[in-house]
Amino acid sequence: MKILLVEDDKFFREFYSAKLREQNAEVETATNGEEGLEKLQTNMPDVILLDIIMPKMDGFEMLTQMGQLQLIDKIPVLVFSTLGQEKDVERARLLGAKGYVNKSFFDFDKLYVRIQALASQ
Amino acid sequence: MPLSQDDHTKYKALYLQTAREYIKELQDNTSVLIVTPENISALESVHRAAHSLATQSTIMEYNQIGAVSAVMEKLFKQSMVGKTLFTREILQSLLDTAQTMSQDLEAIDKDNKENDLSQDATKLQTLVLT
Repeated sequence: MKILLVEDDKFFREFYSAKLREQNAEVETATNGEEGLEKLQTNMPDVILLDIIMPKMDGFEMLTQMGQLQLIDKIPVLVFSTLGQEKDVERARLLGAKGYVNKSFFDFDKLYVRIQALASQ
Repeated sequence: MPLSQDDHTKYKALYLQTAREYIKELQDNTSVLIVTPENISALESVHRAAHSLATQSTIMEYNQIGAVSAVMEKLFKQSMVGKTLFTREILQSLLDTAQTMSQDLEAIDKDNKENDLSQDATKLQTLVLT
């Protein structure tokens, strides 16, 4: 399974990449939405894990551009959120995200089951 | 769900490295805001730094620094949407808090124990609009 992880925070990027690779997932990373869109031009993932608050291009803008490029219905996106970001999650859903992951409360097994379910849709 | 002890040990060095970078970003850009309070780029940077520090501290269960940076994140967000005007006094208070957070990281590094930052959190919380 190919996963694109778009996250500016080095800690979370390395942490989640390592965890996903332990499950034999093929992980590509990007540090902002702009880089994420560039990666989509050469390598289409099965699922995208997308942070919201990032420099240069945030998660909302990446979702918007994926919509304009007609990619939002082709690749399922889960957004990373934290407590207090409920409005952001709703906005991301309206832009086409399939759900969210609370990245502060780590339950990797649960997350991986969701990723697999999305990838097989 | 807490991290396993194995993961906690494995990722502590990365946590400390990135947390120190975020505190430096907070200090540098808060200093910029003292001189130019209208600097949107500096405000966005401190907001992102506080947000990242709060979330990675929470997952590592460093709850003192996590709680203080979460309050900072709220304050910066309020300012970004125009609800809070930062005075020099507030910005200085944020800089002082960043210094105590930095000391907290040293305590984590040395003894794997946190300092009590509850007074800093309470002081900043009084500035958060409900």
